[in-house]
Amino acid sequence: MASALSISTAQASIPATAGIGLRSRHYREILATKPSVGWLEVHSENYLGKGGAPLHWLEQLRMEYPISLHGVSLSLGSTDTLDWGYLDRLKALIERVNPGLVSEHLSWNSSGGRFLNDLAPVPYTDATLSHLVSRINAVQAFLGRRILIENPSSYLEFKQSTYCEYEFLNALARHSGCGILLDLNNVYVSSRNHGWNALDYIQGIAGDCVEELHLAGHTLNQINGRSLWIDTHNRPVCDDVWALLKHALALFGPKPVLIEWDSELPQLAVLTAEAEKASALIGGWHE
Amino acid sequence: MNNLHALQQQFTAYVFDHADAEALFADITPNGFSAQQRLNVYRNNTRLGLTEALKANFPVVEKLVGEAFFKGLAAAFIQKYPPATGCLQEYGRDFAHFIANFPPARPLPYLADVARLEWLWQEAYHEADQGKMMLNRLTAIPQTRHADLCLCSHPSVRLLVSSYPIHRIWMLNQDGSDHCETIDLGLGGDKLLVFRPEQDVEVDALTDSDFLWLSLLHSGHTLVSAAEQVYQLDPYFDVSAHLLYWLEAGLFTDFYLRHD
Repeated sequence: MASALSISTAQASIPATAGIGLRSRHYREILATKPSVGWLEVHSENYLGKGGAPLHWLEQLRMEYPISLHGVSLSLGSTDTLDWGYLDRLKALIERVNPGLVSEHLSWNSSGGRFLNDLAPVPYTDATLSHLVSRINAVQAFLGRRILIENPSSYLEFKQSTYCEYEFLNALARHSGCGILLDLNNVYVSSRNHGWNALDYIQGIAGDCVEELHLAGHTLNQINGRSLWIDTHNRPVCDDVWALLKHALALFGPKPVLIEWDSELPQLAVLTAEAEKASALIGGWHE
Repeated sequence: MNNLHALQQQFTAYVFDHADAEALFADITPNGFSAQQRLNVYRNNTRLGLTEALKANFPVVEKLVGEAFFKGLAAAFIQKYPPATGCLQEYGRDFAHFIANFPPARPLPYLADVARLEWLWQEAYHEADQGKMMLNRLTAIPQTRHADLCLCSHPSVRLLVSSYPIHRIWMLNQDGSDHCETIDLGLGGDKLLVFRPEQDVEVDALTDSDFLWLSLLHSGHTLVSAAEQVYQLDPYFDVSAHLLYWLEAGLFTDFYLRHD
């Protein structure tokens, strides 16, 4: 590719500032206006084609911003065999884009070759831990780099679990060497749904393993008069989650913070305003 | 209690097949909701997410049938053809085939072909990039080898025949098209070329002779053999003008000389 040289020499590491999720509708505007966000994150799956517009735009945006690759379908927690075809394509994308971070989820989304298109939880047991550690080790060895694992939003818990979620993530990071992508909106949503204490969660997570924070909006659903919080990524970050960010920054120090927004996508200015708000909090920590 | 494998099998069967999941229910902490209510969040998220994915890949089909019909169509399709990949732009390979055999869609006989066109568009959009071939490369071929000359078409090239005027249907239902007209299905069918020279996918309606000529070249016939067959359909077919036109458009990216 004509642009390969400049890509490999472009600054790759993700700074401890606010970034935004990149969606195709904003490609042209971002390139034209170069908003002052620190970095961009994309869903790896959207760039696994052989060519065409998505890769064309990503390679141009790569010249302007560090890129983080966030995967949603590796299905690390699944008992299906690892999807090596997917991993081959992901590796080729990593070589093409030179991302600062590569991340996936503590979840599964396929079984018997069928894909759920949702991040389903696993029981937090020793058996699941060793299953996940061996798969994460295999993935990290194949990709030749460390990956980050994100805590999911969840709507159910398994009775089998013998760890709470942050203990499980800590053990996963310790045994596989993976980093942690702490999604504060997911901490909030799951805490609300299961009656956990979100502050305990943030205090309990191994701060030295946290490499990135996510923020997003959620939706409150009523089922038979009871509330269930759903991770919808379709609205601004709520005040409670901003408060969690302040706690997290106080505990972990400055970290890259991503504003995620996937459906009912707003104007770019709305996303950059959220990112500025996050940046101010990250910057405030230095003072 | 279920082990991880059994738990995932039952969970997936609950989501896609609406299968009974009593053993799985017993593994779920109720905590204010029934296990079923909790699992239904995943079933709904999957159905909504995959319906959105199909809508994104088949926007004209959705426009033609309307939101409510599309929801039902998508739900039936998702159950029969759940995705075998997490890359949703690759979901829907079987959608056209499914529509062709979906009884409620029978009043719209052209719908399956519109879905076929949208799928080819989707494939072309993500295909590999390749630059156009320079004409002077052809002039360097010795005359003695001209009969062996074959052309390689761009990786995104797709050809489609329909008995319905799907090009017109597709054009009128593009975003930004404010045209409103009634299409006479008796207008006859279309022979279409789907092709992405750079970033934008083009859909062109071809004449019978152009379609035959491109199809023959695309399937590996020599330039000479393709011309001979096209002359039977159209004795006035101008091979060099067509060759120059499609070379310039970027449709041919390379050539090779056939060995006997």
